[in-house]
Amino acid sequence: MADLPPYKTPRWVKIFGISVLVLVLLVVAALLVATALGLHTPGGPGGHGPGRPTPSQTPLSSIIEGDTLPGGDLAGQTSRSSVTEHDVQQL
Amino acid sequence: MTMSPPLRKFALTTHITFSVGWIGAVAAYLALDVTVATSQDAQTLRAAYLAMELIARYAIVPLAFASLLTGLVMSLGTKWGLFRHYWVLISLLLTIFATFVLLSEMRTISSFADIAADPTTSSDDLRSLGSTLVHSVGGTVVLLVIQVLNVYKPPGLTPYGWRKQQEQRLRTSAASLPTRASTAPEKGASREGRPSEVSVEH
Repeated sequence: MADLPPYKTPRWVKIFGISVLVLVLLVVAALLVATALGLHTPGGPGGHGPGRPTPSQTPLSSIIEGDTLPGGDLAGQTSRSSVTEHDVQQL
Repeated sequence: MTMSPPLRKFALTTHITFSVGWIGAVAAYLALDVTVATSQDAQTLRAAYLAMELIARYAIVPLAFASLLTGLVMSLGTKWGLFRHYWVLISLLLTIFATFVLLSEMRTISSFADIAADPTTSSDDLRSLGSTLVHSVGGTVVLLVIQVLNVYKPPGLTPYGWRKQQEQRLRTSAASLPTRASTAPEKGASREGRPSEVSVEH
């Protein structure tokens, strides 16, 4: 095993690796610049992260908030059950 | 653990079907994504968002997993191996990366579809939803790179593959020394990074 020729990485692999590295750096730089300029916010306008408020959530939360009993939780499930209990008591 | 030629052809056909199908499904998704990014018509947007979710969930994701699985079978069932050649290794890494990004992007696609399916969503809300165009274009590029690698199969062994090849050569020459008197060069060692057996070509 001592007379093995030295191993050489193929040239196309080196070029490919450098290209991928440059591409990744460009994407990261573009994201940083866009975030700094306020053009890209994952949860805000133009972004689409999980923190983004959805139109379907907005009407529901506003409806529930209006019907919440004093001292009740503003979170969706509790408020909805509070409204139901309130309605039952009214009946 | 090499497959027989008929089995290898069947596995290859399956792998090509799933892989090309994946690219085709992404192309269909891309058309809808461009529509979403450019259209202002609420009905078109609503339909496009719903169709994008269906294509992603029932075509792209299953095809991605099927392609990954059949690719693993093809590499492990032939002399190419999974870690011996750079083009196989890079294809595997890119496929895993594309599948991972796809799965993480499914949440966004599903939330867009949920919003579009809600009849109370206004036209303005639909227009401000946005698109996944960056990811779908990036995904298409990655899939095309994988396709090019798989068609051209650029030669080049990984350090692991090179070591294995050297060990195999040493074993072969040691085994043939007592029986062979001639000093003719070995067959199949003419081009670095290519398996010496014809049957492994895929």
